[in-house]
Amino acid sequence: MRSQPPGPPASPGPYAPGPCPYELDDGAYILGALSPAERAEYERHLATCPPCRDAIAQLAVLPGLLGRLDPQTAQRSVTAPPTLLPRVLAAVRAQRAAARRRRLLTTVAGVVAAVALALVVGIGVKLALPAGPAPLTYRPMSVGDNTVRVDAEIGIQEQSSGTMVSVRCLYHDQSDHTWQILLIVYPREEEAESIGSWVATGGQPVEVSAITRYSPDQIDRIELQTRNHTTIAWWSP
Amino acid sequence: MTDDEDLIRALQAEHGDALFTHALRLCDGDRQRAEDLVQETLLRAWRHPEALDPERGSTRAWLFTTARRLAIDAWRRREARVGEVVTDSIPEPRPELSETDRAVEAWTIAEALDRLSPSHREVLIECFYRGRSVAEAAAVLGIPPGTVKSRTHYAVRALRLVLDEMGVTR
Repeated sequence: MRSQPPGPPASPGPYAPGPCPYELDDGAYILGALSPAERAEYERHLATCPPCRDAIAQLAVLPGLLGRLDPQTAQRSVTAPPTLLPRVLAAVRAQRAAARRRRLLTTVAGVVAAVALALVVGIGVKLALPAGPAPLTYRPMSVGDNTVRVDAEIGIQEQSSGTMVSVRCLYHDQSDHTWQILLIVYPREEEAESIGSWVATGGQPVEVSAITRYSPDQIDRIELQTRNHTTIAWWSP
Repeated sequence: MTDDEDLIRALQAEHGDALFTHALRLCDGDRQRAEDLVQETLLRAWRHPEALDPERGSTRAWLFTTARRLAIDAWRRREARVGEVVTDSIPEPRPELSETDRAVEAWTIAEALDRLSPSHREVLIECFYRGRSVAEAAAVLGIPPGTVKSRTHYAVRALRLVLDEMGVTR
């Protein structure tokens, strides 16, 4: 982004509107790359040129930020090892195969259950239902790589049809800004699924419950994400 | 279905070296962990191809951010485990900036640099990290000093913009 000259100077002086001959020197100046003579000349110029002063003010934060990375790490550039691609492709194939096996098992289990139910109904025996779900306890979720602070808790309850996921969260943001939040379940070895979405506003607590067909031990990770899939909070059993 | 494999191959061909370099930084030079991190990042991309929709932003930026997020998670898990060992001593007051925060800051700057064009990154590395003057950088890069100046002028603006986008500055 180029800084815009703020119009003619308030008082007449050596600065004249129009392209400034020193305009391109600001980068080298803040990086400390001007020679001592050029540096002194540029600083004399700064005293008379408001647009250049504004530009420097905009950029002044950069040297400090750049300095947080050590020079050795900054200069490192390597090529990926040739073994990496075959390894990733093998992992993709393994995950796909595992997902296929799981789908097949689910189908078989469904058929078995249907047959069993037919038998039970047929002979009129009443099956004792398993005890009700364990009480819901909330645990804190880990916070993602956020700019907005969020407190989130999660409760997990196994159910006959899958897992009930309950989330309570509060966004600490004073503005009226709203976010679209997605509740994403990552099962082990299968594709992630979104089981809910809502709109969150800073300072207003949200409580949401949703159900996923996966059992708790099949779940690898549960995340709250923004619409562009930035993780704002996560939990892993 | 080889579509998936084509996706991985294409990502690796276009971003593999940059992603591995990035991962190596995130893993403090540990090549084994860097390979694990690249694999996990590419698997995420494979599971969420919608995230790579060019209309939603740069693919490289998504890969870098995902790798950084995974590295931070792994780091926090390690840190939490280390913390669990010390149970009978009063925890030290946390220093203002933890080791993790410092590392995350450095990674973020590295990622911002990686998002710049090679010619912009190059002048920043010569002039800032190698401490070269405009004249020295011009000699090393084989371009006129005036070009070094104009490139640094645009490079610092591009960097500022990337850091704004990443939420570091605003």
